[in-house]
Amino acid sequence: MNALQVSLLLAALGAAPAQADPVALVGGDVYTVSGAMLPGATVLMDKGKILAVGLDVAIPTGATVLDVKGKRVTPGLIDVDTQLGLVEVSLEPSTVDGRPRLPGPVHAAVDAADALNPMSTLVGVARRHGVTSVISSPSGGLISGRAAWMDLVGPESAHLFEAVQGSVAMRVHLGRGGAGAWGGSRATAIARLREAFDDARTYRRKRAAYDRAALYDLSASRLDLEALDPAVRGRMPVVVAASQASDILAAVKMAKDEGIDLVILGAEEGWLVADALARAKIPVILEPTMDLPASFESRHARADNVVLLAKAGVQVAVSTRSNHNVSRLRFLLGNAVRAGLPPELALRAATLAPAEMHGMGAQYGSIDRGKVANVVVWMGDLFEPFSFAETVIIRGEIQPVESRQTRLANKYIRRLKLRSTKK
Amino acid sequence: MKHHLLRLGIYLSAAGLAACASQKQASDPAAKPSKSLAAPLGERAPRNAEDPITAPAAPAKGTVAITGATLLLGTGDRIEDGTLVFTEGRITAVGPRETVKVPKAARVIDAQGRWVTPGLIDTHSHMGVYAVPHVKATADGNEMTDPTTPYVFSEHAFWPQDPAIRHAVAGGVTSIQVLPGSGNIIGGRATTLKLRPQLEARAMRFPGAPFGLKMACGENPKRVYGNRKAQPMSRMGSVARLRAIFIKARQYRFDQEAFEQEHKKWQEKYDAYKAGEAGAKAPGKEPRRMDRNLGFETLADVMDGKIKVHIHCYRADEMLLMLSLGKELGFEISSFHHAVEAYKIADVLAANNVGASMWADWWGFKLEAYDGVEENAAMLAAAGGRAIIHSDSNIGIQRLNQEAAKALHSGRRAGLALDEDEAIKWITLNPAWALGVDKQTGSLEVGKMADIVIWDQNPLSMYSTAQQVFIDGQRVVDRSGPPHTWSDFEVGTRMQEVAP
Repeated sequence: MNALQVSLLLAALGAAPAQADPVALVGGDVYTVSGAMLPGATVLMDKGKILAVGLDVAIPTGATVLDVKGKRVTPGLIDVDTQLGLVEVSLEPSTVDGRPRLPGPVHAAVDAADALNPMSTLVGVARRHGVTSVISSPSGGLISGRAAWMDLVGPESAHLFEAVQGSVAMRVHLGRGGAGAWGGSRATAIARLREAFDDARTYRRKRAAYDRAALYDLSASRLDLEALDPAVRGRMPVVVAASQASDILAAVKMAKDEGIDLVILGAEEGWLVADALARAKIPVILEPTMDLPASFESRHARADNVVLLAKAGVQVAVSTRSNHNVSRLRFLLGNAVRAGLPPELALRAATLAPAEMHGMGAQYGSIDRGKVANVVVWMGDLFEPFSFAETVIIRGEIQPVESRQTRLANKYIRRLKLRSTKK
Repeated sequence: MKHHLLRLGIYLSAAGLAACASQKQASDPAAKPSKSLAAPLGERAPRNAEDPITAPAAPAKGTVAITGATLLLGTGDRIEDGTLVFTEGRITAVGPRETVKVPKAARVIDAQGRWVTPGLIDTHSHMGVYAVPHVKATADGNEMTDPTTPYVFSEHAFWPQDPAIRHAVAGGVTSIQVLPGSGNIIGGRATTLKLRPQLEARAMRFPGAPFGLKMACGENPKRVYGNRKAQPMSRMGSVARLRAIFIKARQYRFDQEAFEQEHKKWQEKYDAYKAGEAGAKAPGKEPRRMDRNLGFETLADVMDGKIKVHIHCYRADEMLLMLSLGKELGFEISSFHHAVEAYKIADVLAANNVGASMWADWWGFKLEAYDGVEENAAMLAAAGGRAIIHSDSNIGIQRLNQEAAKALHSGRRAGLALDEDEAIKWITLNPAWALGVDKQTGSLEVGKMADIVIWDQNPLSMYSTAQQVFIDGQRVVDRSGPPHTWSDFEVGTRMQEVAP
């Protein structure tokens, strides 16, 4: 079935489209990420999905057609370690939902999706730089809780409150973060983590005894144990923050013992254990400019960490690991390239790689038929500061590329008449 | 203790060079004193422990010529296919290749296709005072025991082994201002350093650079002290404390001047009596010197314009208030730092010739940063003001060129008419101006220090890397070799194990 047939079929079925028209991007250099770059290709989208990609795509009548000849078309960028939508002003506690204050170190039941605000002012700032999805995670504790996926649609979008999907990952801290959350030692943290995982399995197996109160005390609450269930069954990725090489290896061993689907976050010393990560097929999320021995956990941090990991065959995702500066994602990719990462791997590190490691690869991360229509048109090389995202499409809708911040700037550019000022 | 006295001796002998004229007269062997008197306390104590024990790095010997590069001068101009010559640490020629004669003795660097800028300058660094690794033991940047600490010096805490330093130099940074933090309304003295690591901060001082004074308005001081239920817990309290200490410092300066006059009269009497002049009477008791007050000395120098004022200030209304307070209290502001709302008062800042040190895109981490915009620096520049890109970060300092590029292109996208050469000024000549060292560095001009970066491509590209960095003509970075892990902290790490 081709694109036209699909749209005709949908029309015949009387499906109410979220957006009146299909959108076609015509003639751009399409970086699909899943395959080769397609020069001068067309991307057709409708009802939130990509309908067709190629040189030979029939455009249905009534479609919004954008001529993007000479421009680059990429999947929307994905930043997977943020608190976007959980934090408005970091130092104002009344605007922060990202760090629950809970007794005990296990907060597995917390789901970021329940707190996410898709109308946060941070959304527009990130979107303007081509970021179309983020994962927002709670922090704090040993097990911080569950992360949520959010598509960064604008406030006018028909999808505004559908754009969030909860429980895409469980978040855990090892290293000093874990030690600080429980017992003061790396050893106490790991022991406590294993206990929680074990109790989650026990809870499932001996549910009847638990309900009769005929079971020994478990180390976490009922809701936490229920939330951990998909994680201990390997059905939900467990993202473990670890910087030091020994902590990364400890996490890898634990993941093997416990049968969990591990993703390492941070990994400043990852290059030292790159082969072990590659052998165990453990993916890594990192911020590639973290090249200082900022703590004793990252004595061996270096700017080409991302390159060495990729060379060893580790799947890497690049993240800003920030909230207000998610807009910098494309520049971090540029710096990864500067450090030696091939550009196609850099683009993959903020599209398909992060989607796949969160079990979202079937829906996001590449320009392929059937995927969610998150697509960006760039004026020039997206890793360069002189380029910009000209058109941002999320869930098939053309989004505003302005933000509260650009409106503020324009207000004062007009007021001070700066556009007419000669240097 | 013995060692301590030895050091003191060195300071005193150095201070002797600046001893007052009357003493020289008194020690003149030709003027034979006829009366016996106790020597006056006379000689003033040295003002500060500024002089290094170890020798500062000397400028490089010899002559180097960089030929065929695009020279981004830092002045707002450029020379394509240019040649730059420096000798004994100073620039001796700059111009189009055909107009510059390369001296025979010069070592020639063929820089065809490469780009050359002045060494980058960061007005806002806490390297050395908040060194990595960030542990309790290295947190030396904020003396948060008193909201006004004009008597502390960042250079007294600066740890020259901070492993972050080499990363900044690798990013083309040749000079930084090291400031105390912003927990206090008056944080203390800031020092401008050249980034040739030495065993002590004083040996890294930028020769002739004035001290800076770090001040802070807004949220930080009121958060730090307000959380302790101490003053200031509001912006009102901060301003009141600021006024109070400047008023006291002004009085100190008046008293000091009055004393100097009184003492001068006494000294004249003393000298006349000692020289046995006819009719000279015994001078009487020497007027009692005032106790030194290091904080008031700092503020007196600020009021005399000898120390540059740098104020951490985000909001437009607070910057305007600080401008007013400066007029009342008698200080001029060199630059506002973290000035995220500079764009709202770009015309005022330009008219008052006050610089603004800004990030390219940091915003929102606290309420006073909530109105931060990516067009900020470009808007100030478009209004004719002194835009500066600063880091306040040992990560950001490694890529000031990228930050300038982002700030430039955000402005251009908003329709502002700015070119690349303007953006280069934001990280070279403008910060040099704010620090009071623009006669010595910040641009590629004859006579200036040979603080120079050779980039492999346009430094406003994300892919650009500093290939070679020179400070005072000394090559401190050469990308063709392994990284120079200078810091003792990095001894024993496995950083050079994998060649990238």
